[in-house]
Amino acid sequence: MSWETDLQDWGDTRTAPAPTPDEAAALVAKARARKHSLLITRRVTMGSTMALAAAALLAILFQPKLGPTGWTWSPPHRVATTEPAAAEPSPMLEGTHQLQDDQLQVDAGASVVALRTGPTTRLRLDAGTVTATVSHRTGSETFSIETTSHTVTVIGTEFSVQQSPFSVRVTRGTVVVERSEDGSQWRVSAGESFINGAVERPVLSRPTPPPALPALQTMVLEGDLETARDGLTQRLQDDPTDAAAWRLLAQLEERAGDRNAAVEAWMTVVRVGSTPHAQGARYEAARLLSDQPDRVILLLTDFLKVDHPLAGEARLRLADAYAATGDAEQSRAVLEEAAKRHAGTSIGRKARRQLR
Amino acid sequence: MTDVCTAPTDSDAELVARLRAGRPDALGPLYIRYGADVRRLALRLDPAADPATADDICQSVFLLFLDTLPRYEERGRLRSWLFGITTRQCRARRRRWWNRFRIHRSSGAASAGVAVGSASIDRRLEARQAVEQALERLPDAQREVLVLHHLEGMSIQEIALALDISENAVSTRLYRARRTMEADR
Repeated sequence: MSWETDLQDWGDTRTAPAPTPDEAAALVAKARARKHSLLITRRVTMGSTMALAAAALLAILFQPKLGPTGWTWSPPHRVATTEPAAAEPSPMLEGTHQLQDDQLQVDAGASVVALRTGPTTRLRLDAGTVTATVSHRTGSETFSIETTSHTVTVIGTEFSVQQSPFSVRVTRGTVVVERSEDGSQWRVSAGESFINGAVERPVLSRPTPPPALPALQTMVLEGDLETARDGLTQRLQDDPTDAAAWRLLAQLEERAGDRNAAVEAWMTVVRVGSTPHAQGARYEAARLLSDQPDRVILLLTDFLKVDHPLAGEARLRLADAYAATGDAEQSRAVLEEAAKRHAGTSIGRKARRQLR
Repeated sequence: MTDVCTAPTDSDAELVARLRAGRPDALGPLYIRYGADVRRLALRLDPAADPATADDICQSVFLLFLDTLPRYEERGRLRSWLFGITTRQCRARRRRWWNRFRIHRSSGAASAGVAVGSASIDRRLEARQAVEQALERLPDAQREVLVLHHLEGMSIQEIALALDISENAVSTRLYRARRTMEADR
């Protein structure tokens, strides 16, 4: 078969149902809530703009005339009558915002306004932290974030900026940080941070080694999941192929109730782990994915290619998965094999019961 | 449920006009109409994504669609426009994930041993896995055009419009993606 046919076959396994009316209603409610919150911020901004415009009008109408013994009064510089009062852009709400091809994650408590968007994007960060994923820029196009003290201009693609105390953390690519008061510039590359007026290399930013795995395991067992997650993240940044750390992260995420993160971590063990590690990870991922029989079939079929103490349970799960996809014949074949291979055990008896 | 989702006969243009008039209830019928397409595309663009992730992406695509309404010109089909947003969302999500740990996925050769099921089923499963791994290895830009063209049936012109790139760029990416897929077999 050609790769096109295989691709089509794979594509057929990656389908999804249409949203239900309930889901659609929930989305509409979200859209309404979003619209409402945007309206409130716009009204506040409109209110200030109207007040500014009214002040400007009053200043024009009641400006005193100059006389030989009179006095003169000039409106404050900000209420310039020659220029219309520009509306201050609304602050962006907490969450993810798509600015054309760029993406901006606004953290809780952050206050950021888009002064200009498009090929040249300028944002002003008044408080908190934002993280930006920026598309490639060419020529004079720039993406920059201004704070009261510094301006960060993107050369690369992903970074976060905190207003106070000012700091920049670059995840991908390179940014240029410029201090407003004297124009000094620093180039901050991926993995580096700009803190306290200096660039910190990854080594400097991590003076202590990551905690040992047994210590992290104890934390997980004792329920200190956040600290354990931080430690595991640190370990995995040092060595992304550390299968034991990925396994512990998977167990942690399952304990924390985040099934997707757990499955993703188990799948990483499958990719980076040794055969025994990968085997165990396939079984664990299949266990968590019981509502996705297609994926369970793939995982457990691979799992059963090598003998494993959990092979019996895996065969029962595989039979269930085939049954869930409507392939009764294959389900029966797997049960028959389970009954034969595990005769005299509880697995064998269970398989025989299901065959009846 | 509510009246928000009971306008299946309204055309896309009518629903978009209602959205532009500030009536978010028109989003419901569009979500029901195109939600499955968007979810499916999210699953295909990111082979590591699961249904819950695809659902999250789908919701954010429709909410972002409201933001892009002023720029939506109805030059092409609404589905293509939504696919453009979906593609950008999936790419952003993958970047976040990749950047967290910088894992370079390896092909993970299948182990030899006792197979379960018939030879044809084994062959099919292996082929699916091989395709998934080959897709994972493709650069985002190439995978996107390959999926949109071969699995979603979009023309070069539609893809160019959805991704806001030239038709030449689409053709080049498609050519490179096909060549890589062919070489991976």
